[in-house]
Order: sequence, then C-alpha cells, then structure tokens
Amino acid sequence: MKTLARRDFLKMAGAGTAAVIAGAAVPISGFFAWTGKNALRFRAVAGMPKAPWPAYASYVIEGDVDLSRRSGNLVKSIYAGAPDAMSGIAFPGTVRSVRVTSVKQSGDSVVIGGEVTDRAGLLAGESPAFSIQIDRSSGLAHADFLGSKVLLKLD
Amino acid sequence: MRTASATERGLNKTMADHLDSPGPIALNVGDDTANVGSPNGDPRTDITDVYAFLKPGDSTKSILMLNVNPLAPLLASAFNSQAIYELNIDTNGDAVADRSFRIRFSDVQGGSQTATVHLAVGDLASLLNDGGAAVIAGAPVSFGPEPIITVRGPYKFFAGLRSDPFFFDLLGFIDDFNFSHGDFFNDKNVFGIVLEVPNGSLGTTAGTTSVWARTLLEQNGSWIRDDRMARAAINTVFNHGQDKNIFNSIDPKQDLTASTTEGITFVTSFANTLQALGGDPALATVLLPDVMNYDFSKPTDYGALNGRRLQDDVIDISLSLVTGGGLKTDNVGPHSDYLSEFPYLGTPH
Repeated sequence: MKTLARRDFLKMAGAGTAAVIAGAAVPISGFFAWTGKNALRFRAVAGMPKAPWPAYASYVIEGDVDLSRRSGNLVKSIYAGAPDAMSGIAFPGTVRSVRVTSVKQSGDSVVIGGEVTDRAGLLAGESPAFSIQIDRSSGLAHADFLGSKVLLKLD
Repeated sequence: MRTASATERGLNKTMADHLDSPGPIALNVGDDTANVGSPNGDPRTDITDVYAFLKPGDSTKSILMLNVNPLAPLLASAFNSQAIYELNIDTNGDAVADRSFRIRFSDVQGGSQTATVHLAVGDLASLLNDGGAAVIAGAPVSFGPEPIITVRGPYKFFAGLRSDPFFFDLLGFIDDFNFSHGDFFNDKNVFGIVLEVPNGSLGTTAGTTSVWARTLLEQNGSWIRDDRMARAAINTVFNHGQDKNIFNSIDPKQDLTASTTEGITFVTSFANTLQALGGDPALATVLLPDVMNYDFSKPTDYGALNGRRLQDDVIDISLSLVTGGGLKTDNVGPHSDYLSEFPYLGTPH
C-alpha cells in the first residue's frame, strides 16, 4: 500500500485519455515555484461554476515550463469536487496533455502558449490551442475553458 | 449552537449526487495498489439518483429506485458488502422513516454477488440498522447486459450494472451555463437497485408520504451515515464544501434546525443561495427537509413535486426553480434506452 501522487496517476492513467485518476478528497491549492534559473512549475486551480453557484468541480492546470527553451508539458483537467474538497476523479473526457510551444515573459507576467497533443480527444468546438497568462504578483492566472474565460488561483 | 464539523464527526469526505467528489478510491495499477483518501468515502455507496414512480400500467404498485456508483464500473465493479442501502419511506410528513427497505449485499465470490432486502417498519425503520422482515433473499446481482430479476410474493427486485438514466449537460454547467456540450451521461453506467412494491407496503396515507435514500457504512462495529439523497441536486447546488458532508451526516428531520459551517441554519443558507441565484428564498422551506414527496394516489410528476420518473427533466425543472426562470433548460432530454418494463434501466454501455 502506498499513496500515489496525482501526477503519478496522470502518468499511469495516460493523460489525454478518458482517465479516472484517484486521489483523496482533500483541499488542493495552486502554487508557483521556480525549479531552476529559467524553469518553473505551477498549478492553477479554479472552482466551477463560478459564484454564486457552489463550485461543483475544479479546473486544474499544472505542469513544468522551461522559459529559455520555450518548452514544457502541462496537463489541464476537470476534477469532481470544489477546490476545498476536490476528489481525485477527473471527469472522463476532460483530461488534456498540452505541449508548450511559446513563452512570453514581461515583468511578473508569463504567457504560456501550447497545443493539445491528443486532438482526437477534443470535444466538438474545442480548440487545440492553449494559452494561460500567469500573473505572479497577484497570484492569479487567466485561461479559458471550452472558450470561456476562467480566473484561476496560483496560491 | 454550533454544529460539529464534518471533520470532528470523522467524516473527511465529500459525497453526494453524480460525480460530486465521490470520495477516495482504491486502485490497482500493475503491481501497485494505492488506497488513497479517507476510509469513509466509497463510490459504491455514492448515491447518484433516487426515483419513485407508479408502475407503468399498474397504479397499485410503485417502483423505488436507488442508483449508486457513478461511471460504473470504472470506479468500482460491485456493491459494497459492508454497507446498507436504504430506501426510506415517511408516511406521516414528519421527515422520519416509518418504513425502510434495507438492501445488503454479499461479498463477491467467484464473480457473483447476492442481495437481501429487509423491510423495517415503525421505530425500527428510523434507526441505523439492517433489521426488519426479509422480503427478498439471495437475489443475484446482474453484472452483464441481461437484467436478472428476482420475484418474491408481491415484490420484484433488481440490482446491478445498468445504463445511467440521468441526463444533464454537465460540462455546460461547469462552463458558465453554456449549455451546448450535450448530455455528459449519455454513455455512462451506474449500479441500480430497483424495487417493485405494492403501494400498501408504503403505508395508507399517500398524501403525506415521502421517499429518500441513504447509504450507511460500517465503522468500528457501528453504522455511520454515508450519503443521502431525495430530490435531484439539492446537496450539489445548495451546499458548499464541508456543508455537503454535514448535510449527509444528519437525518432529514434535522434539516430545518441543523447549522452549516457558517453557523446559520441550512434553511437560511438555502434561502441565501436562492436569493443570490434569482430564485424565491421562500422555496427553502419547500426544498427542506430534503425528502421527495410521493403521493402514490396521484400520477407521478417531478414538476408537480410528486415523485420522480426516469424521463422527468429534473435539471430543467430545478434550473428554472432556483433561478426564478433565469435559466430554463440545459438543452438535453431523456435518454432513449429506458426499458418499458422492469427494471426500466437501459442495457449497460
């Protein structure tokens, strides 16, 4: 018996597929960290739908980016449960692997662009293009979910 | 007076309607076994929906249905033998069970599992136990496409894997009510428990009868409340965070007086949410206690707050109700795979 991290499950379950990823129903926070001179790791989290509706699910974007090489890998997923009590269950069909293709840094802001690697799994009307704007000073990030703008927290 | 938190009650879980964080799961991946999360949560006892409707073509009988295990068999492939699955009947409008059908399952042995149904009446029905007279025993659970139906006297019983009858644009709900993504549940399965009962087994006071379901889990030699549900999406829409767990850990009769983590009553919390969403705050005392009125002397119609049929569009009705008509539909309708006869749930996908 051992406890496996969400990331390990993503790898085992095969990110980008209709995956079920186990984990505890626990609070999940965002974070932002430098893992090298030009490398960062982050997790951005948003409860969905927006207030005043109680959050039923959590939108999570996480991964590693090499700013100098403008490369990296991200995963975006929708998990059952609000951020303060998120389960490890990703809604089938919502897990996407993203390959980073561009990085623009300006002051405290980093804009990361990429593309979904498994286009066959995209929903009707879902774009393979990906973008997230991270604002380190505010601890917030802006991304979209199926075309709608979403504000995510990094901490 | 402050209500004990879910954590204080030892309930570090969140369970409720369809995929609303159904708790932790034990997974086997290769040679690795991972058992993550608290011991209380279990998709096998995570209630997805509750139905109560007159038997089509025979209004002297009723169909009671309790579905669990969202996304089955992905998260779990059998019923929990250490749980009690309850279909509770209140006959006099006090939100206390006067009759209770208690379903228990054997361990899975050689790929088979059987069910026993007890009917508790009177005070016994309101207690946390599996007592009562056996009305069904040794009923096989269905794991394949053909439903195995058990008939004992006036009772008919089914338990097993079936097509999930629920319909909802879940992604549209998450996507800021952009209801254009279609029915998320169209290809999903659940584990269904279906009972056909004579209306007489529900009591003689149809006008004050209501139904709700509950799952209990055994912990340290006693039974703890795990999940409960009556009308659709009540816990999902109205309760935030740990309040979902508190709501699951109390009985319906406590709904009017129990407090949330904010120190206000659930009634006040529901009224506040209704007001914020554009609905009528006075509806809070209609929605609570969270039981499903079921007058079996009248036609079943969820829109008329009388039971629930598989085809009732509970999401459209609920959206319109809680938003004061601001939202009217999620643009999806009933599935086409419902059976016209018992157990009514479609063939699993």
